[in-house]
Amino acid sequence: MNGRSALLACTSTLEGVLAAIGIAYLAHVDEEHVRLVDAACAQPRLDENVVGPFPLDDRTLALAGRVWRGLSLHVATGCPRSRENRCPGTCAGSCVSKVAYACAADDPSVPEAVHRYVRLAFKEGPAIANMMSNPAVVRLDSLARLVLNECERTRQFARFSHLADGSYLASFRPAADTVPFVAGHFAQRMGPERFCLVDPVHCVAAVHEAGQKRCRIIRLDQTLADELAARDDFAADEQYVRAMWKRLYDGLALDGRGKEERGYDLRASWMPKRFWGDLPELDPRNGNPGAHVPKRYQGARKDALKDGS
Amino acid sequence: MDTYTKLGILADAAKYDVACTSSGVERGPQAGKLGVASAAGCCHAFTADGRCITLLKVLLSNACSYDCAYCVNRRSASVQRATFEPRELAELTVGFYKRNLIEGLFLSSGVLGTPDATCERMAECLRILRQELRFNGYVHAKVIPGASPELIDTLGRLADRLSVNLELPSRGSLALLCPDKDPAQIARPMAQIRAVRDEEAARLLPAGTEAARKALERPQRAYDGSAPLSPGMRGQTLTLRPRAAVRASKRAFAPAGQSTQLIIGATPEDDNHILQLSRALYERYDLKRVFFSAYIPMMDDPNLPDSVTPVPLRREHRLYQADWLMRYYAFSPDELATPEAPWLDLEVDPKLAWALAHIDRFPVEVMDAPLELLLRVPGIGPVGARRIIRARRAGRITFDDLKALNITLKRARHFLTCAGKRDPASPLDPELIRRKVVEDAQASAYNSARRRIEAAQPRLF
Repeated sequence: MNGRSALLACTSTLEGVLAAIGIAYLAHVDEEHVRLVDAACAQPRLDENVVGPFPLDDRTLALAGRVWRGLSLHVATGCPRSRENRCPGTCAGSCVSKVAYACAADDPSVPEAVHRYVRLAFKEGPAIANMMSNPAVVRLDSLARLVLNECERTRQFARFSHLADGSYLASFRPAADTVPFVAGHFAQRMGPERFCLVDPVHCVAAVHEAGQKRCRIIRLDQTLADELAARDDFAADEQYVRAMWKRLYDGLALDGRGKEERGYDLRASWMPKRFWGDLPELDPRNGNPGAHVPKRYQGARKDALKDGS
Repeated sequence: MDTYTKLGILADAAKYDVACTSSGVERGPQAGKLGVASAAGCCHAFTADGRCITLLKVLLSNACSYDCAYCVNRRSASVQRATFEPRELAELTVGFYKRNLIEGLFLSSGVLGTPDATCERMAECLRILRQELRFNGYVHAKVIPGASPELIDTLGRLADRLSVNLELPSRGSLALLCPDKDPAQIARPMAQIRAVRDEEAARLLPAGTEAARKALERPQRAYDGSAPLSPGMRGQTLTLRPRAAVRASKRAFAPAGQSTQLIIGATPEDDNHILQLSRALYERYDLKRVFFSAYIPMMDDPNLPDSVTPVPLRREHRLYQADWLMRYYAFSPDELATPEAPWLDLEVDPKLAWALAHIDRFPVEVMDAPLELLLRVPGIGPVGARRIIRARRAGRITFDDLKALNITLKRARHFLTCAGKRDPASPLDPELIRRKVVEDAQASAYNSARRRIEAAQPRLF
């Protein structure tokens, strides 16, 4: 290195970052003399040599796996809380799993934040679980929390549409790569259904076949992701159901509790405006159920007579 | 009348039921069934007023034979009436669920003829949903007071949570505003639900064990501060809430328990009365939640506040905060609103108000304070207390560390010391602390907006 520091470029994925950490370790480079940067936005300083990015092949993937296992062994398995069988209720190995969450964040600082945390974890071992105000831990926690929040928003606000072929499709644009984390939730929830959850921002889809316990996670190219997200071959009942949902949504709001009366917009703080464009309840086009009333929603004649309508 | 039209009428009629949580039971996927139930619940949308939508909240029918003064669906009200067919509502629930719009169904109804007839119709809807459509998601069913015990039992085996609305905080108010409702008819199903759940717990717990004895103790009290707690306790027990002896997922009858609802501001009962009543309900009926609904003046009636009276939104908010403190932080009702000063302070939250009234108990030292004391500090909740307890094992904590731990220092800094040191930005004089935190609270957008609206309140009891 000729006394200079190294900028180690890597792909900002869990495998990419862990592989880069493994390479830096095998090269015996001091923590202070190496900086991990997302290859997509690598900008070396004057005193830095650029190294990488290394292709994610079998060797680098094996190295990433080795770092992950080593981390688990040093931090989670050795944790005194785990040995006392107290870990599952308090952290569930979160000191390791939060690395995976942090890597899913859309933030250029992810590789270096993970690098600092992993180095500290190897140095401190299980004690890192209590080092909650250490800057490296605080930074990683904030990235992991951001992704966990975005996972929750994906579970909340992904909206499925019924397609003409009987399957369901949702397109959702989260601010982190959340689909791999939430796919299991939707597989459990929609067990008997065939569905696809696509994220055109991160070019990833979770595909579920009816009756399967898990989804398949597929990385897509941008064109295919956009095409999938834009599908509009809906089932005949879709427009009517969307209109009913909007009607329910509009009907549930109470007077005297809105933004003006509260002093701030509570809805916008719970439901960020960046999602509003894809929510059927906020789309004025869904105000009309259309001329076609699906048979199951036509109402019984005897009921209509009883109601006098 | 098609489903779209009915939904418009019956959702509008149901919106005054405030309970809309899908929490309290964890149920995994089952082969061939649609849906799961998550203990934490999931909010799928938020209305323009900021309330969460997690369940399809509708009435089965708004054709009510009762004439409660405050109710928009009362017999004498001139509103359009509609009634869902049981299958129609069950299919609608499944249609919404598959689109990830809801976690399940919140089923209530006006009294369609008699309580039994109404409950039969509700049970039929839930039977179709559970057995024919194989729905495994969350269901909350509202029990109609006066329904027969057999029907309540049927509802409890189809629904996750049952609720019986108490509606008004005293017998006098109930007699005045709901002449058709008998307080005994409201208490009876609540007692039945408690009894069936207790019997079920007794069956599920190994006989003669300490856990069984404790679980069946009546009333089940929250932590009373008589002994120090272990900070090594797990999960939600880091709050002071008593832990259920039987997991909800093992139960077959109302696994998510029961709840009730009180209307606030339609009658003259004070906050101390309401909190005492809530505590009694939690203990007597093992309720999971008491919901408070700020009265919205809609009906003209000589026994109700004027129709221009502002919605007592801040009062409802403070009552929810006080209720939370009772359930999770082991506050007693009299600590929050005393019989001598029976109203909660609208400007500051109840925990802050309590801390200001007991400022001689502060500051608390973060390095050695027990859990129950940390939980009494404004700005520190169960998660923050857990972080502090873990972080102090690694070394001395400073105010900068507390900030890194996401403690709300704006409120907490006045009530803490870190290794014997006060925060430099916090005044030493208790009176100055009081003035500063009250000024901060009064300056919030929420308090400013509510003060402006409530200043014009024309009538108090």
